[in-house]
Amino acid sequence: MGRLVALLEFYVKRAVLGVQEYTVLTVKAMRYILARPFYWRDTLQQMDRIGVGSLGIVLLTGLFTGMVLALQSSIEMRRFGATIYIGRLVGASAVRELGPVLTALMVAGRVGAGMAAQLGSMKVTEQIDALNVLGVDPIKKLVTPRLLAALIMLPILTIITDTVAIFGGMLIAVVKLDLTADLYMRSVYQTLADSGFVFQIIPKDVLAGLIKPIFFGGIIAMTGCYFGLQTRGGTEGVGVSTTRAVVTASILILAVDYFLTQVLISILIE
Amino acid sequence: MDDPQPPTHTDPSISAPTHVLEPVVVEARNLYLAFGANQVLEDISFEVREGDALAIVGVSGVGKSTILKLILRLLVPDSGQVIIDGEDINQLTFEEVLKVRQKMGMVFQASALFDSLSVFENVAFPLREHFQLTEAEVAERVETALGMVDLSLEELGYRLPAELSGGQKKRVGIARAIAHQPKILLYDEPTTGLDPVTGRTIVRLIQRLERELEVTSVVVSHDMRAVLAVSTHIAMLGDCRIIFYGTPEEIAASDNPHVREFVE
Repeated sequence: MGRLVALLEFYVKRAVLGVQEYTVLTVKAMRYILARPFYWRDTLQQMDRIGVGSLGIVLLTGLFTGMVLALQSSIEMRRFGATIYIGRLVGASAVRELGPVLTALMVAGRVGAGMAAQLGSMKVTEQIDALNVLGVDPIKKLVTPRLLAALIMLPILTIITDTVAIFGGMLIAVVKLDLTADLYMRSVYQTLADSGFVFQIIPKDVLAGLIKPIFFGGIIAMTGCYFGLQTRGGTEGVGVSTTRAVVTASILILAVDYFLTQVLISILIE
Repeated sequence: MDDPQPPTHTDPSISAPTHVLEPVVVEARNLYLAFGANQVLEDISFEVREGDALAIVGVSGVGKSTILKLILRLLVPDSGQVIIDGEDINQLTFEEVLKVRQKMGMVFQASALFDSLSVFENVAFPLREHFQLTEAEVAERVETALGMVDLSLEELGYRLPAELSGGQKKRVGIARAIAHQPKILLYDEPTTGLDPVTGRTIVRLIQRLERELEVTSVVVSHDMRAVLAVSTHIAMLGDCRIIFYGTPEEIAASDNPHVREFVE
């Protein structure tokens, strides 16, 4: 029994310490966004890796998600003669929820893993120590550019996913459900307009759908970098860090999505 | 012809010439460090004067590289002081420590070259980070640093570290360490993992750098032949403490059984 308590104490302490280190790393990385020197070249390189590099999977994810949404919902809606509302369903689902979350999960799998692996292998080959020794703060040089790039690129990728998902739904609506593209797009617009506008221009649903990816971008970058910098034990350690980064980022994205949705509904919709 | 007589001073205001000691550049005072229950270092003290080369020797796992990490403040001791060029680095902020580190160059055991950067970019890295130099000036200094380690910029400059041999990586690591003209050079096992011929070449290179750059060096190694060749003083670690401190001649003549076992 005593051993069990000691073991529990050990794991709780380790978890608390982990959260503390993660928070400190995040605060430092965010603070360095506004501190000189600015590593613009590294930031642009990361934006290219995160944004342009993820474009393929994001396009495919958006397209097939939109298509399958339209296809699945058409079965139920046809029974009630409500297929004209397919655009509403696809538009709302994609913009509010599926666009941001699926984009974030795909990028977490691709980019978050890459960040953990790259920083992890730099750690075990003493390259992080070399940066320190050369008088360069590894957080400023490695973490901040990745964080900044993810914060900028995730909303852009989400807009692309949303657009392609709506287009995918339109393909099914036109080809399989005999709706016109115009009718479908009017239906999409209507659902976005129903939520109201911010500054009379931006639909509230769209705004809510663009606030989420900023948080998700932060989670992906910080989780990848945190586990990368925590790597110990050679190449095996790199593998462990990579897996942990993807799993933790995915869970955090889904959990934070729930709480963000609650907050955004209470602020923007209610 | 009479033998020249040593000059005698009749004026009491003129004192006899004294040997002027060089200033201490690296100093460790009563360092203690433990990782959990595992005591690593106990009451470690030494000083390295400007232009000297201290070698820290001992069997694997005795804490030699840990001392280098303490000098660089990559680790902080449980108690004791590390004084670099007059500054107790454990009392400094992180930003201040980064500035102190710019006075040092470190040659890592496995070179620790940035694998996504070319040889040129690796050597140029500290120059671009800390100096306002034009690209032409950077290129000139990179070429000089590579030249000092007998490497050609034209031949190797645009290769990635993965395309280099072990000896070449070590040389590029040294070139990167000296590119920003540091006051202090730290070497972590500079000959480990190299064949004997390349190892001897690296030893000759270190000797040449000590001579030409007049840097202060701290060398961690268990290769006694290399240590005897490059150091002016040797500290031997054992049981978490310094068990011997002296010149290469003194260590060679020591009858301490631990020292003899290691030297022989």
